[in-house]
Amino acid sequence: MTRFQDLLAASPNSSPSREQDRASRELPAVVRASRLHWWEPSAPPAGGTAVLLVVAPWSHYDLAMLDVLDESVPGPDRPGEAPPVFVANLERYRSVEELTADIPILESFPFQSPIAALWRDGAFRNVAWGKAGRDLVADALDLPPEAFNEQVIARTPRYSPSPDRTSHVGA
Amino acid sequence: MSTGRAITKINLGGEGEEPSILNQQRRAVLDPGWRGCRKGDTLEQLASQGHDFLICPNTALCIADDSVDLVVTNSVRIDGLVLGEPTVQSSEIRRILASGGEWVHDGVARYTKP
Repeated sequence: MTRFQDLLAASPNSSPSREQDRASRELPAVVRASRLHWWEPSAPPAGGTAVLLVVAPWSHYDLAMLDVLDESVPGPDRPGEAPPVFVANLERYRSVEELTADIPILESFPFQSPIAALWRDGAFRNVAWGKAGRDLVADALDLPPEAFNEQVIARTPRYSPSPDRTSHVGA
Repeated sequence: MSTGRAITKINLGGEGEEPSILNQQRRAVLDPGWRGCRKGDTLEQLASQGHDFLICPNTALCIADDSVDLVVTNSVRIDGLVLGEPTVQSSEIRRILASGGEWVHDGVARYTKP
């Protein structure tokens, strides 16, 4: 299933930036249709453990990660088997100060996405970004971090100079 | 990085995920806290693996007009701002591409310069 990576599907007569704008707009609806949860800062989880992922909707790494998580986390018929995973859009934050206002334990500049934060009993307890952020969510969900990271990378498109790369759409 | 060779292929925002292609990054890559997205490598680790980096702003690539045969971008925001910082600019891509040069974004050819 690639419901999240499909957000960045290239289309003729479009451009990467317009497709990224579209992915940003449609991300909340796709999260709500998945096994993941949309993060509302005004209504955080009341208690227990949860994971927040602030993702870049232009990043196949982040969207592939969400696809892997959507396939990995228990469905609604198995409540309580794993911490719920909440998702927020990095583009809602215009500065690192705005991001820190929502995640106060973020002490260093996040050079990469996702920004992953562990929520426990009403407060954030741990935060990491980039590959370390993927490790954090894997640990929280009891997934092997290196295998999880390899799954994400394997799904991420890249340039291929081989003759197989024949697709071409207008920018 | 200075090899004395002409830049013919460049990966804007690259981290070495495209072998044998020069990577461009902003000055932020020089921060000791910077890590690559894929495996969490430092700049020094990536360089020691043989990856070359050109460090310049996204808004003013230090590359001549009409000079590059291939621009690659992977999982980077195009024509936007991320936490207030300007991202890769399509106008700069169009500027540096040579006639017949190609922009490949996320593995798909998106633009060929007339």
